[in-house]
Amino acid sequence: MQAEMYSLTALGASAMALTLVPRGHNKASLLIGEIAFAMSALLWTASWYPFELPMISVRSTYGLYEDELSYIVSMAAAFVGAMVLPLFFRRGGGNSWQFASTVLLGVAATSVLASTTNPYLILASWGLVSLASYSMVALSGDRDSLIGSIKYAFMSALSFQFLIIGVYMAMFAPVGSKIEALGVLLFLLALGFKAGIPPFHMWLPDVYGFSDPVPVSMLSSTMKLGAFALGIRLLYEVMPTLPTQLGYSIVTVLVVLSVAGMVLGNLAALTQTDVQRMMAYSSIAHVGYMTMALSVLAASAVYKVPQAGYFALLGLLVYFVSYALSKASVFSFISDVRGQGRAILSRFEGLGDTSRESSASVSIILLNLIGMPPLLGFWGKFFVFLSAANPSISIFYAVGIPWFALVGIINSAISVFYYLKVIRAIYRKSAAAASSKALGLPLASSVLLVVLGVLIPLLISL
Amino acid sequence: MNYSYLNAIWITPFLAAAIALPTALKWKRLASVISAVLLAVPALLSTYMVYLIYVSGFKPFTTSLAWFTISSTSVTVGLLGDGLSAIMALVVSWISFMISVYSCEYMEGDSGAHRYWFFFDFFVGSMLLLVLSNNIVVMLVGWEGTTLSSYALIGHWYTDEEDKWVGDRGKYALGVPTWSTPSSSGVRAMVFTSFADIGFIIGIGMLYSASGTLSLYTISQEMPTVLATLNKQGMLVPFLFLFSLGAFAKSAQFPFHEWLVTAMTGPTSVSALIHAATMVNAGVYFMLRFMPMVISAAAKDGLSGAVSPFFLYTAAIGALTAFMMASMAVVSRELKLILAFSTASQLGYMFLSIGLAAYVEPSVALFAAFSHMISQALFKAALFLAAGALIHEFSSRYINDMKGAWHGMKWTTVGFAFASLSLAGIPPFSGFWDKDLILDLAFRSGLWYLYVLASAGAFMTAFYIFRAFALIFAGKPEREVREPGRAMLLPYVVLGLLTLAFGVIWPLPVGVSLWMYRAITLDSYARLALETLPPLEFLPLSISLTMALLGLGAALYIYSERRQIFSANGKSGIASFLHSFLYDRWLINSLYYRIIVYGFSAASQGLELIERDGFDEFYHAVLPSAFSSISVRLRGLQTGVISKYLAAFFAGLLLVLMIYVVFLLVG
Repeated sequence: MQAEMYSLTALGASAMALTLVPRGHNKASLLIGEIAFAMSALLWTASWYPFELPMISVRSTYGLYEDELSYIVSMAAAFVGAMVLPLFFRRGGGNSWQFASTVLLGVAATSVLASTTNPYLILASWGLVSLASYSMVALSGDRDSLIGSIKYAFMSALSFQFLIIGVYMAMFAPVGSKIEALGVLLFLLALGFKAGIPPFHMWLPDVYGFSDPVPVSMLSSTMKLGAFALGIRLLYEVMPTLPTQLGYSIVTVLVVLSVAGMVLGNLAALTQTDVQRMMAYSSIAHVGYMTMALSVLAASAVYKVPQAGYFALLGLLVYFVSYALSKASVFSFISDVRGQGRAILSRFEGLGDTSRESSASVSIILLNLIGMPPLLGFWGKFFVFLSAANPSISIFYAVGIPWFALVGIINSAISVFYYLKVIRAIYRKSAAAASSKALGLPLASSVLLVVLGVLIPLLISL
Repeated sequence: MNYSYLNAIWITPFLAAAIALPTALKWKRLASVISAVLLAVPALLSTYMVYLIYVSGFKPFTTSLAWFTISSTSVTVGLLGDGLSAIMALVVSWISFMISVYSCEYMEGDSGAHRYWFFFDFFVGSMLLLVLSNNIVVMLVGWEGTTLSSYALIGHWYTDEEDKWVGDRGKYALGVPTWSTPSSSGVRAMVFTSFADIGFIIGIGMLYSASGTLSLYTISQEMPTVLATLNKQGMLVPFLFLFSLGAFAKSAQFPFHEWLVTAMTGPTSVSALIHAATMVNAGVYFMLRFMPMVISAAAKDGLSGAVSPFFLYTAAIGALTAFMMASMAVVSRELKLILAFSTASQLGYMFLSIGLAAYVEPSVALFAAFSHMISQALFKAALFLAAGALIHEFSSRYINDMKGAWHGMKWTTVGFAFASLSLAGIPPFSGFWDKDLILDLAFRSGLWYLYVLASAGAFMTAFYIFRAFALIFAGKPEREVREPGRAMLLPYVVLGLLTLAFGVIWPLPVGVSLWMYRAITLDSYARLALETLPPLEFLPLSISLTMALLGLGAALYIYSERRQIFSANGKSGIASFLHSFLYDRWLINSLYYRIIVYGFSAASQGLELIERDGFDEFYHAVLPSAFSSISVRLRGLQTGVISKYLAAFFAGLLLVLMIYVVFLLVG
């Protein structure tokens, strides 16, 4: 518990310290940021030790939970933040330190959001996350980013209303009442906005697809994890107490949202030629898979099948890590290739020859997004689909076939097409090839994905 | 007494093959001499083996060496020494030796000599392994080894020069080409025989599952149990049929005879060895090895009635083949083709005789087949070797181009004449005795239709061979012809003399034929009862002799003056139809190609159409375009107008609330 407080303090203090650094001393700013992240990570790890925490707990101190869920989200956010921070500083310019602040604050807020069910803390952290997110995007200064940021801000404001209403209804209504269920549903609207679930996703393709990819890489990977973690906690608390009919309604909503996400995301990405936009749609698809896990969590409480819930949560945790690492890397790679123009597919051609390490890392990461064993992404999808195929949950079955899991699998298969398009473009021979510097993030991510992917089955059995 | 050294009989030729291949690449002459010399070893050893069996009073022996074991059954490599295998090995090895000597001169200058000698020796080794093996799986190995060598040797001149073809170029029957090149002939030989070997292998499986053993000796002991088991399962006749299918194909019986016809594209020495004297006799050996076991076991079990349909089938096929092939030979214009048809025809007689074992005294019937096999080996080899010399001298494979060979090739004429007389069945040549025995048995069996077919075949046999003789040797030569060298000349002259000698000795009480008779019956593993050889009855004897003389006389009369009786441009429609029907091999080949080959080809094209325009089109055109259009439509949702985005948000809200209310009301 102490660790949490100290790390948050570290992050917050650094953010403030950055304002004190004289203009132009980017190296100093960067250093401060990295030290903050390092300290937080250390503190969290020290507190996490000896790694025997439950995946999700119901005991909290000062409203902040200490369990695997909160630590995984916090660590993932910190790691990605630490790796992405230098990218902000690379392009020079006077306001890089502002970027750094937003990143630090965003990570801190995500960490709190993932660890709490206290309504006040929820509101505060969610607000801070939103603020950090659209500031991050706006700070790039170019027209597309500004437009995206505004769209995001508008919709964020709208969703915040529903967040307040939903959370309060869920928290303060009598246990097991209709109001409580309605509260959860309205919260889901807000979650849908933050995560990018259709039909609340409309801002996402514009923001992810056209804005400056560097803040997007931070945005796409970590800022939604907190919201998802909150959703998990909420469902965990509320679902067991609800009457069955209301429980069914929540499960149904989640199923509909999940299918909408998967289908829209994958199909719309199929014919994209702008890789950045393609990755935006693929984010929607991945969120769809994560929502599938949420629906299984909800269903496991309604149908009284704890086994399914366990695997769903496990899958989600693994998915968080894999998704965060992958998406951040991809967008940072795209920012490198894109330069000032658009990240059209033809721009990627020839990179296989000129920038070997980058290409290899990015290829591995794309394979991870596909869900190729033995990478980590495979295990995430595997556990999620496995949990959805649990035969005791009858809503996921039709005529004896686990249709829900099948939809997920088929969509994964469809996604192979557009991911491979990128890999193929990278390795195509081209005379006019740009070259990409060997970026640290893709490299580190790809290594981690491979290593963790191989180790995960062993770790889980422990 | 350890007889393992006798395994050298079949090992030596393999050794010779291994030596000959690299040697012939550089020193062709030396390689051929080495092969010939090394092939003398099995010849001498098998003579010694026959002596051993004779001296021991016909006690069969066996040696074995374990090769591999599968779940408590071991496959052993070893020797089965009884009368049947010893005599077969004797015949095979001596004829192989003589033909290898012939080949030294015949194949001189050939660029593919290394392949020739390798496969020649490999063949001899496989054949000897086949007849000597004491284990049915190893017998199969030898069997397939002969198939492989046959393929390689038939297609030896794979560059397909036209003078190596069989058939007339450009002649079609029912839309199917009637000629065959060496490369396609090799494949045909392999396909026909391998297809039938499926039956052989299935038969081995059935035999093993019913008897639990693969050793020939044990099988012969267990045969009554095997037959009883199979009969209980209702599989007795199917088993016999399947098991011997390989033998039928190997010995070119109808409907598998086609491969032998086109196999004449190979070198003549190969034709002599493989397609006259040894490989085609493998089928007969097979029947002679297993049918005695079947007969005696069936008698013991009381199943003689149950197995007789199979024997009737065998006899019928044999008689039919004999008749059919003889009729084709009557009109054929190529010398080697006549001899090929003749081989299949004579094999038909052997199968007829084997089939008759269920209707007359079994040991006599089987002995008749055995004796005829040996006779045919002698005279057919002689005929083929002489044919090789003649074809080489006249540079043509057509008998019409050969004329008046008597003048320059006196010894060849003698050898050819002796062999022809034996084939036609004129006493005192050996062919007379056993063919007559077979016809006598057919007469006595009561199956008169088979007798009629066989007798007609005998008439045609004499006719066609003397037609060839007359066309080749009579008349005035158009140019100078000479005898071939001694290496080529001696083998077939010797064989011709042997067939005379064999025939003279046959009926004599000194007991050569009796000795062979014992070898195949009492002293083989089957232990058939030794019955007295019945005397030849007068009526069938006179009929067959008359037939033979008539055929001989008619042929000599017509063809020595080259009178045209049967010709393609005859005036009568029926005669010319008959002629082309016989010339095109009863249209059987054309039927096979039309039905099987072209049929499959058409089916394949049909399937390709389904695959290409059905599945392929679906996967590569229909599906992708469907998904692409969906994708484009979905992307169109992003209008970029923020108010629309907010509206979508509210639409989502509405959706969620609707679901909630539905469940509220329903629940």
